[in-house]
Amino acid sequence: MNCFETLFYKIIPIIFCALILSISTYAQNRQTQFNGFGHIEFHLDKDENGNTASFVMGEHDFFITSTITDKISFLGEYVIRFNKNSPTNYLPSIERSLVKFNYINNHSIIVGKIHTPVNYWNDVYHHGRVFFPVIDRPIAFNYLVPLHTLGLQFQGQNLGKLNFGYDVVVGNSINSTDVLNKSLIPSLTGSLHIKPKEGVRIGMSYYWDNLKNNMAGVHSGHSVMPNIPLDDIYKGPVKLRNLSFSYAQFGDKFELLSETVYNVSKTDSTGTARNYSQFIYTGLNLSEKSTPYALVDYINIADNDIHVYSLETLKVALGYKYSFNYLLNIKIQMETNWELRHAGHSHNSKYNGPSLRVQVAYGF
Amino acid sequence: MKLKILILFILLIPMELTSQSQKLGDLDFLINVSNISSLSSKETISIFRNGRSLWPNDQRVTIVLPSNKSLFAEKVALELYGGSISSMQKFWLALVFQGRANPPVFLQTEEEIFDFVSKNPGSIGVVGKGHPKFPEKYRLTITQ
Repeated sequence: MNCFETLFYKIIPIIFCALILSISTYAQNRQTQFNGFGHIEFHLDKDENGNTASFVMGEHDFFITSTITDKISFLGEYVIRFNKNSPTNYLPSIERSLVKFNYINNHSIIVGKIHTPVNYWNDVYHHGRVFFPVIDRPIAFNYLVPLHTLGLQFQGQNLGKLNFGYDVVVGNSINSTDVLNKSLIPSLTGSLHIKPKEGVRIGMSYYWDNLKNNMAGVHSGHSVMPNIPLDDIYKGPVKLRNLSFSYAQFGDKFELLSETVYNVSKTDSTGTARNYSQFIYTGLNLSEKSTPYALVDYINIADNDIHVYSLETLKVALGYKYSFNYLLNIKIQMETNWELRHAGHSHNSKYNGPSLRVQVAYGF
Repeated sequence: MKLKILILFILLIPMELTSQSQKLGDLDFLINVSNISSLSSKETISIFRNGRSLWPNDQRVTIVLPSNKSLFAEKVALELYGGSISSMQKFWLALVFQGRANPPVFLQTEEEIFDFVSKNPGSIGVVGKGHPKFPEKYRLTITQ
């Protein structure tokens, strides 16, 4: 390990953690709040290669909010997660870091890195597994949903009788890094929602992005299909459009979350690829602590998509969540995955499972 | 065909768009905002559920709630949030985590809440009904 690597992988994370702790200690009078979230999992898997049983260290999420003045606040979310290519097996990332100016009641201007407000999940749960109703994010997050935007956001919430809310975002394209957008043309996001009743939120959004060069897999966007050789990945321009619809109902007895994504990627090489996904979660609260649930997660990426490449999978799962309190829960989930099509595999169909997932999610 | 299935998914989603109503009979409210000494119960509940970020005078809304060890936290959680203390805390942590609210201030005793509200313009707090040391100067009258 050379000096630079020592600095990057050992010293900076230690300074970073010390800084966070010092901020939290200094917090009280400046109304700064520090929280953390994490999770540990156990996986019992069955696939083509046989059976495996693994304990899994999940993401650990450090979250800071600070009210700087009456109208200006700061929010930061920083995650450390496993990465096998790192010398320490872990890498940090900035998931959100933003300054919010609340210029008039319930209307704000935000500048910074955000989770793109394209559906309920991406706007609400972020990296806090203790808030997740199930163990994993919908599959669409891997391939269709633009996850982050670095830019300018106009936000309104709790307006009128229906608690109307809006988000308009102008920011870097999803093929950009956090310091360079490769084009003059920004990405645009428009999102609307209403909350007609406590616990109910209905929303829709539209995302518009003309990528100068295709580059899936960067942090702002989503992944390209695994097993596609790097040199074979399309590198030309892509016109990306993403329409989402969400219905969330989290009541005392019944919980329902429906996330629908309709996504179009257009290239000069293969034309217009139409992709879609549907995630449905339903849970029944037997008590405040005890929730059995079911989920269906389907994604279909067209054969002619060369932004992330073709895929069709279906996941079905049954699970049970027990909440010890609002800061600790355990989820046990039995799931089966059908991979009906995959651009990176020669065969057409693969059956994975059933698999057992256990997740202990906590906040502190 | 696939798009039709997708639309069907959306249409099948049940919607139950009725509003909730709750009573605030077991609670006393206090406020430190100039020119506001009374609010309707609907407005009060809305404010305590993050319905307002700034007061008309542009001061930030600071919500002051009992912490989980407080003797009257259960009443507050039930009457203002319709659930347990844990669900009230989850409600706020989730909103703060979403970036859609500033964190409320959680204090253990009535005296601490009285003291905080009196010293911090823009704050609104709640305690159990009938505390003998309730500061009348900061009383928020709830109208129907």
